[in-house]
Amino acid sequence: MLAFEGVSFSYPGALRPALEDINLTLSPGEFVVIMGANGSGKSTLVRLANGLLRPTKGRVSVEGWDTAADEHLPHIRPLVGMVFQDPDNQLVAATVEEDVAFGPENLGLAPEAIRRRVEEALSTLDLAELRQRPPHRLSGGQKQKAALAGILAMEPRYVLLDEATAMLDPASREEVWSIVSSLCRKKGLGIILVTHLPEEAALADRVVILHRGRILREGKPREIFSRPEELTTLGLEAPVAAVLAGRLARRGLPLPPGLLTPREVALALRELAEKRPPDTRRKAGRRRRG
Amino acid sequence: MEIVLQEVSFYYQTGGQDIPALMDVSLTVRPGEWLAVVGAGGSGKSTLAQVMAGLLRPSRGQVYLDGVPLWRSRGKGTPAWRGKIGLALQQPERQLFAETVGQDVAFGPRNLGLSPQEVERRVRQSLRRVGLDQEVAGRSPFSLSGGQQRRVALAGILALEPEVFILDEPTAGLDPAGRNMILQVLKGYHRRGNTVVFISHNMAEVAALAQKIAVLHRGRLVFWGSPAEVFDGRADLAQWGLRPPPITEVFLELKELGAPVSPAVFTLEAAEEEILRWYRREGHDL
Repeated sequence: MLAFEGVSFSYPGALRPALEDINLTLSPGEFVVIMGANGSGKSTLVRLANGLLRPTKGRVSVEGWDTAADEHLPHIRPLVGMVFQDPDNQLVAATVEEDVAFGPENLGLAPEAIRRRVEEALSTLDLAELRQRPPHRLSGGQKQKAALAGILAMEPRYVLLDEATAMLDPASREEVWSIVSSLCRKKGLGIILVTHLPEEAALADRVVILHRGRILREGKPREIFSRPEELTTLGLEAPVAAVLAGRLARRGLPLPPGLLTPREVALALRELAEKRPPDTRRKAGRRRRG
Repeated sequence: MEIVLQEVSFYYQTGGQDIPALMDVSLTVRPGEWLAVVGAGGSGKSTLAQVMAGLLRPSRGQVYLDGVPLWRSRGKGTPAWRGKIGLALQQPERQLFAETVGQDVAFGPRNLGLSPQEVERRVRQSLRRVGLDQEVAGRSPFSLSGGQQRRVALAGILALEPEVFILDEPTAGLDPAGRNMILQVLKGYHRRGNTVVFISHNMAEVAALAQKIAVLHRGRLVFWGSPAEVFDGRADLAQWGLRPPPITEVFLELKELGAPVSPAVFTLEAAEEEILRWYRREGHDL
């Protein structure tokens, strides 16, 4: 388990802590989304997970290894993979293939094992065609997939994606989503995704809302997005389908609460439309005429 | 200013190979138009933006600005367009460099050879237009938030007073508040009669703001039309790496379920009204 226990963190010289009293766990096979406005502490939280940053107070541990102890870091780092918004900082080699091999090579694996992992990662992310390309000649989305492939080749147990889908086109985003969720469901990886996109958050097991360094709410997407107005005041958005359902409910449509996806909203609307309500005025008119 | 691309192709050279980024793209951007360029990663959007802005010379074909060819057979592009077309690359805040916000924004207009008073006026005006206090002018750009830095970068381009503003993913990576600030800036700029060309992966903002949408796929222009034409459910968006905006998806789902609604709905307000119209037609008392 990846665990935050009473974690606070302050950057040197900052007026207020970036994170305060964070309690959060991530189990293998679990999919957690973190949302929060800029400056809410999301990126700090991600960087605490593998010891890139160490807590000022409290404890962060991975499978029991405390990130505060230097001698634990060699155990922690291969377990926790990270992908950031800006893949340029993460891609180092001359070709995509070499870049993906970089991590496993550093783990000191045998050449065959490295080759197998690289092939697997390239094919999982559908990058085989681009293996000889220099990373700087890739599009933003392709770079992000290359960075993710490099992380997967390390075979981590947890993957944290810090707005890693922010620069992707809708189809690539969905592709990364389905890759990430199948890694989670089938291979049992624990995933934390930081995102501003509520449509992504709707698919998570759990959504955590960070506000000014604290966890403000935590729950299933259906609970978190049931009151979209609350999120707006925090500088966040709910899935637009949920917002539409809320607005229609206020205009008098008796829609069930907790609708999240376009499909759900469409189905509920059609069902409601077919329940033709007793139209008193028209009946009254017919009666008069008759 | 009118921008015409005529059969433009562009090749990147890498490792002795020519990699095509644009192939035979012809299009016209009319003065005062808001054009969105969409497409999957690697479809050539950023290259197109740089060709339109005169930053990259096409390998084949020609760019015309108000009917005048930009590239002659020899030498560089005509300098006349300089200052008339503003280009914001991806994450333009990475190019901030000066000690203060004011100096950063002043850099462009000063290079145009304007008087110090005019430069000063433009700095004040551009900062106001991107919604930043004058007080910010004296601060280091690096003391600002990411969203504010991006607005400073845009102010630096607005200070050139371009007629066309080309932006490569201006809202990517920002939180909802930061994104709205940027879109407000662009709406204001467009309202003043200028042309906006923006690349975006956010179909919701594309559909709500653009008058024309250019869809690129593997370097080719595969679709050109209004948001209603692109997102009405007839075009196979998935093959181009696209999806309709989430709000439009509600209506495409409804249509599939046989409801008599129009799928060309791109804002929450329009969505609400379209649903209520349908319900009233069905005899619901609302």
